[in-house]
Amino acid sequence: MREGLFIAFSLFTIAAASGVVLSKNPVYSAFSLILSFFGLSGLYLLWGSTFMAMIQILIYTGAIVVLFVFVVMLLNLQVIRENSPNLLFVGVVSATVWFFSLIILRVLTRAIPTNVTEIPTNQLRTISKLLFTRYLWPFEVLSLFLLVMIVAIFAITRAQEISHGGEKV
Amino acid sequence: MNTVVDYFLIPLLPVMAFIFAGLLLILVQCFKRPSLRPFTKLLGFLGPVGAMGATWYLFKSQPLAYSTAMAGSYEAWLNEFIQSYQLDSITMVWYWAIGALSFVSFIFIEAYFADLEELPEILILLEFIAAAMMLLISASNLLMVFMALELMSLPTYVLVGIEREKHFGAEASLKYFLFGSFATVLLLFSIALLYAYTGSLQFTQISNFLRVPVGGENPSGLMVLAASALFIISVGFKLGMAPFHMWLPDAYEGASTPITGFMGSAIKLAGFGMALRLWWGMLAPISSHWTEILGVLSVLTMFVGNLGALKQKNLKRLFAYSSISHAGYLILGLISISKVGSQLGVQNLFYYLVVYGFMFLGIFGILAVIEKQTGSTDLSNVEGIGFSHPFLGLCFLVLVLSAAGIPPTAGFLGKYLLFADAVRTGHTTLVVLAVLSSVIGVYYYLRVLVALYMTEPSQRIVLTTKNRLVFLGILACAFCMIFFSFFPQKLGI
Repeated sequence: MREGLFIAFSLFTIAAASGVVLSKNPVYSAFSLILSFFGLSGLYLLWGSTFMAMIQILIYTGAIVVLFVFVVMLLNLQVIRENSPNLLFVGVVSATVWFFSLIILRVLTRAIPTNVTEIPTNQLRTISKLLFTRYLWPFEVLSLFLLVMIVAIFAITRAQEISHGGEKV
Repeated sequence: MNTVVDYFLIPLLPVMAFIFAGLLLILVQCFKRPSLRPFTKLLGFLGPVGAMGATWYLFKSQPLAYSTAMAGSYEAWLNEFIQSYQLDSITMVWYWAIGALSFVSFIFIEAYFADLEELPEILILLEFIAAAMMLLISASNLLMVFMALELMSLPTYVLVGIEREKHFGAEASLKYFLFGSFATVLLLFSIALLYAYTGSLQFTQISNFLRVPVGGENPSGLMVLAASALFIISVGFKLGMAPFHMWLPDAYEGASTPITGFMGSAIKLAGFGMALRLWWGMLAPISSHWTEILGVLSVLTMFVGNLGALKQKNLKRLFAYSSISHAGYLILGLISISKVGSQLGVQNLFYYLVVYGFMFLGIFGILAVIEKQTGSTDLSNVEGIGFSHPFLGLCFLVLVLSAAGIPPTAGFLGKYLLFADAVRTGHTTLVVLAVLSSVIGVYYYLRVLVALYMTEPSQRIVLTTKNRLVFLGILACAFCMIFFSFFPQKLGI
C-alpha cells in the first residue's frame, strides 16, 4: 500500500514537473507547478509529516505560484518566450548532475546514525514550542530580516525611478 | 525574569544600538521632510557610537560574567535560548573593532552620497548590516550563523548596486548576489549534513559529538568530510578565498567606492570572526582534515591576489586584488592558531584584521575623495597628488606602505606576527611561499607610490572637498597604521 502510494505520488510529481518545463504556455507551466506541489505534499503525508504537507500547499501554491501567475500576467511573457534560447542542453546537464549527486547522497547517508529525533505526532505544537522557546532569538532576527528586505527593495526601486526620470509615487 | 535581562538583553546592548538606530532612521523617514536630512545624517552615527559605548560599558562592568557561567542552573530551553547569543571577552574586542570601522566608513559614505536621495536607505541598511555582523561573530549555533549571515549579505548585495547610474554597479550586484546565494546554499547543505550526523545545531554539542561520537561512529566519516568540505567552499566564497574569488574584484570595483571600503574592512572582519567560530569553535576535533586544505588554499589565494593586481590600471581593482592576497595571509593566521595556544593566535589574527581593516578603509576613503572629484579611480588620476595635496599624499603613502608590509607601519608587525605563528606551528613551507608572494606584492604597491610622488601629472587635479570630517577619518586610518605599530598592546598583543 505505502509503496504503491509512494510510486503513484512520485510519478504524479515528476509528470507535473515535466509539464512545467515542457509546456509552451507559461500559465500552464505555473499550474503544472501547483500540481507538482500537491504531489510533493502527498509524499510528505506519506512520511507522516502533516505540517510540512500543509505548509507546502499553503505557501507554495497559495503565495508563490500565485505571484508567478501575476508576473506572467503583468509581463505578457509570450513575447519573451519566442526569443528565449534553447535551454535543453543546460537542462539535461543539470538533471544529470542532480541525479548523480542524489546517488552520492544516498551513499553518504547510508550511515546516518539514528539520533535524529523521530517525527513527533503533534507537529504544530512541537514546532511552535521550539520557535517560541529555544529558537526565539533566531525567530526574532527573522523579523528584522523581513524589515531590512522591505527597506532594500524600496531603495532599489526608488533608485530605478530616479535614474529613469520617472515620476515619483 | 532577571536571567533573561542579565544574561541576554544586557550583553545584547551593542547589537541593540545598531538595530535601534536603524529603526529610528526608518521612523524619521516616515515624515518625508527634507529639513530632517541633517538630522538623519547625525542619526546615522548613533549606531556605531552607541555600540562602542555599550561595549565599553560591558567591558567595564562585568568582563567575563556574560560568558556561559550559568549553564545548567535553569531549564534547558532557557539555557539554549540565552546561549544563542554568546558574548565573551574576545568577542567584545571584536565588537569594538566593528563599531570603530563602521564609524569611520559611515563618515566616508555620508560624505560621498551627500547629494543622493537614497542616503537614508543606505544608512538604514548599513546599520542592520553592522548589527548582523555582531550577531554573526557571537553566534553559538548554526541556525544563528545562517540567519546573521543572510541578514548581513542580502543588504550588501543591494548596496553594491545602489548607484543605478553606474552601469557596472548593477552587473556587479547581480554577480555578487548569484555567487553569494550559491555559497549560502552550500552552507545550508553542509549544515543539514552536520545536523543529520550529530543531531544538534549547537557548536559545543557538535564539537563534543565529533570528539566522542555516540555509538562509536567514525568521526571522520564521509558525511562529516563532505560537510567540512562544503564549509570550506561556502566560507571561502564569503571571504574571497582563491578558487572562489571570482566575484570579488568585480563586486569591489562595481560598488561605490566608500561601500567597497566598508565591505572590505568591516564585513571581512565579521567573516573571519565567523570562520573562527565555525572552524575552531565547532570543527576543531577534526582539524587535521581541514587545516591542510586551508593551508594550500591560503597560498593559492595570496598568489592569485598578488599576481592579479600586477597589471591593474584601476586602483579600485588593484586594491580589490590586494584584499584577496590579504585574505590569504589571514587564512594562514587562522590555521596556525591552535597549536600555539589559542588565545595568542586569535589575538594575532585580530591584530592583523583590525590593521588591515583600517588600511583598506583609509585607502578607499582617499579613493572616494579622488573619484568624487575626478570621476574615476585610474592610476593616472593620482599622479602627482603627493606634491599637489601633501596631506592626502602622505596618508596614502603610509596606508600603502602598511599594505605592502614595510617596517615602520603596523602592516609589517601584523604580517610578522602571523608568519611567526605559522612557523611555530610547523607551516614553514607555507610561510616561505607567503613571503615570496608578498615580495611580488611590493611591486604594485610601489607602482602606486611612484605615481603619487615621481610622475609628472598628465592632468592637473584639484581636490576641493571641504568636508573636514572625511580628512579626519583618513587621518585616523593613517594614524592607526603608525600608532598600532608602536603600541600593539592597545590591540591586546
